Amino acid sequence: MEVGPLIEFRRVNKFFGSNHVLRDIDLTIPTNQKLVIIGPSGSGKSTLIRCINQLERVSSGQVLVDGVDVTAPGARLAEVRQDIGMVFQLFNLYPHKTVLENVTLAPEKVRGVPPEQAAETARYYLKRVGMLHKVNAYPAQLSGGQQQRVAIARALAMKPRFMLFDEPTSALDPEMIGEVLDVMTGLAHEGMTMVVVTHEIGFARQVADRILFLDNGEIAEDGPPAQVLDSPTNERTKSFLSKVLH
Amino acid sequence: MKKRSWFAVLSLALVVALVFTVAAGCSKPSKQPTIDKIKKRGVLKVGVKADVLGFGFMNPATKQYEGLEVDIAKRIAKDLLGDSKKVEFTAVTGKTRMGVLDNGEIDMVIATFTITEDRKKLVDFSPVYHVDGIQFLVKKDSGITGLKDTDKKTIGVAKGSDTQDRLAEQAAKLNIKPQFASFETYPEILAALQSGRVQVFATDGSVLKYYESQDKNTVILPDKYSSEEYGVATKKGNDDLRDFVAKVINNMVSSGDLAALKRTWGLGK
Amino acid sequence: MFGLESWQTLLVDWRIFAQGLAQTVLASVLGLALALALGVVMGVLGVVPVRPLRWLNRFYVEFFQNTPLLTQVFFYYYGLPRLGLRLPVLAVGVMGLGIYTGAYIAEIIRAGILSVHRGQLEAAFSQGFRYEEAMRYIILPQAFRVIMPPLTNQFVNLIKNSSILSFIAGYDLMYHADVWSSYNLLYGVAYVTIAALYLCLTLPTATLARRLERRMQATWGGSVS
Repeated sequence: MEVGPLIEFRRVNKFFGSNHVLRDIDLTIPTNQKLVIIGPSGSGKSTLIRCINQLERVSSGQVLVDGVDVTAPGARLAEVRQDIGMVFQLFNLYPHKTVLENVTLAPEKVRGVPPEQAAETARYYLKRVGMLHKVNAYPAQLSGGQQQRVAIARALAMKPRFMLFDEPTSALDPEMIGEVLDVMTGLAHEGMTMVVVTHEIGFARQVADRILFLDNGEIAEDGPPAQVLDSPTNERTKSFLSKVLH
Repeated sequence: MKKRSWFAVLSLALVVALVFTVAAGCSKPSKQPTIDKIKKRGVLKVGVKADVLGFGFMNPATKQYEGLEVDIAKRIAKDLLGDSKKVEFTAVTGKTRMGVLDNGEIDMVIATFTITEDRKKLVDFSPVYHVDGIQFLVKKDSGITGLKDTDKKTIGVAKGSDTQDRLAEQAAKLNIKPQFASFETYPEILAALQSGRVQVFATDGSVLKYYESQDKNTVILPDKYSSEEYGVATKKGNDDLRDFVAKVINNMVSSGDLAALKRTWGLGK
Repeated sequence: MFGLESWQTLLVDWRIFAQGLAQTVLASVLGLALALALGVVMGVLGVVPVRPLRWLNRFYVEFFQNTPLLTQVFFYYYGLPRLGLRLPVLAVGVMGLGIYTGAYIAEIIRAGILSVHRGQLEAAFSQGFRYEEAMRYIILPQAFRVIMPPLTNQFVNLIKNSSILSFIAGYDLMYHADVWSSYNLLYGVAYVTIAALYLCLTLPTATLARRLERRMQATWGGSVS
């Protein structure tokens, strides 16, 4: 196994107009880590995770993925992104494709996998997320939780080096959150490198081996769950946690 | 599906309704003598050309219509209403003259309208007031000297004129096949000639004179391909008006007034 | 004007109208192909993240939508020969119809693309699709559902607008009706006949498109985003 960081932020700054969203972020994420990012809304969590696959361009600084500077002008983003799975808050399934087609589309068109093989792979992952019985359904016919599980299968079918989850349960009805978190937990146990932005503190405690608390664009707290969740040093972290944990 | 077929039926019904309204409007001859109507109105409405120098021409300097046909209209107004100024002119083209006459917008057409057997079935004509003939306007460097040189060439004619039929008959006798392209207005035919879309601008010689004067690179060829007899057209059924106009024209011929007017407009023999 | 005799005269000359119909269909079909190609390309240029290309889209749409079709066609017919390009009249007609309608289609496509949820493009990017692949496989197919109804209108408009060929001696249905009737003065029967023939072209076009639209609606189920 190759050593060295999988994802690296070097003095990353991001502005939206005059709004300073990320401030001098330095961050190293090694392979196999399960990193959970928490923090109040507007703290820059989503922006940070979206900088990894460059859905958000940085204003200054560098982001390296597997040693490749994805912020460099002329970076081959399409190639880099093939190896990064991403799951969105609003699922973003392709509504004009069936569940199966949602999962096979990118492997076929981006990776050039033969259709039969892509379908086989798709069925494997759909089975893992418990959605094999809906292969011919369209996204609009599924519940939110089901859509999100298909979205996870869609990301996995590209066989990514690591997975990004951007508030994957925030748009779900409470009774559906569990089914999605279960899939994610299973994935973590298999050793997948994961970066997760979430408000689910219970999930963070159970699955993460490192938690970042982001506040006002800065990393206010960084450590194992026990440290960040149970004995935070930062005042803002304490007040945030007291609110989410009641 | 039901809604769609209903719509189709409705569309069809509309077309049929259209046919019958227009048909009804066309075929009903007015009972009231036309002359009385014109007198009551106090003004004679005449369709003339606006772009035929010497016949019906809107003088850009004076903003007035002028020409032989305009003068004939004024004469009819004088005899009918006692004042040659009581005329209202409407510019018509070969294509529009029939429509505006038919819908009653104008009382008569005096617009280089050639008398033909077909047209006699649809409108009434006065006696002939002028005889003209189809001629060719070509580019000087075209090498075309007459109809015989027009095989596979394109001849530009005006919509609503009988030029195409006249020329096609004669071309068939020469065993050649010119193409024809019809345009809305004369300036468009000139533009088509200049841009090489057509090689010949064919219409009555009287019309061509103006366009020859507009482009130094063009010339009117001497050959005439028809005898176009111009008459004043009135709507069928308006017998009183038709007879009145015929009387005016005959008077103008016998008194020598018509010949004098033609000399004025440079149309003398 | 609508007597039996008039209709008989028209029937005797049916070949003239058949020729016109053929030319109108040909000009419409070719014009449609050009309009669609131009419309899709120019419409996509209206949303690409490259400013000069978006300017090109704006120029194209604004110029060709806001000048009369007849002026454009007159330019191709009378103007281009003076610049040394004398296209056949059918090509002039197809070009005129295609470029003009393309401007409307471009705007419809652009609006259709913008109506697709932004997350769709992000999902596609996150999977490694390039911009043009994302457009082709994910954005445009979704945009087309929104685009279909106004697109149908443009198809029908194009067929009707093909009658401008009559102004440049284009030998289409309108031209032949004009020439035939303005000589024998039977314009009543002529125009009613071609109105019916135009309906025969436009109604099935609209119906077919609507059926296609319904089928798309049925298969995808609920809403786009």
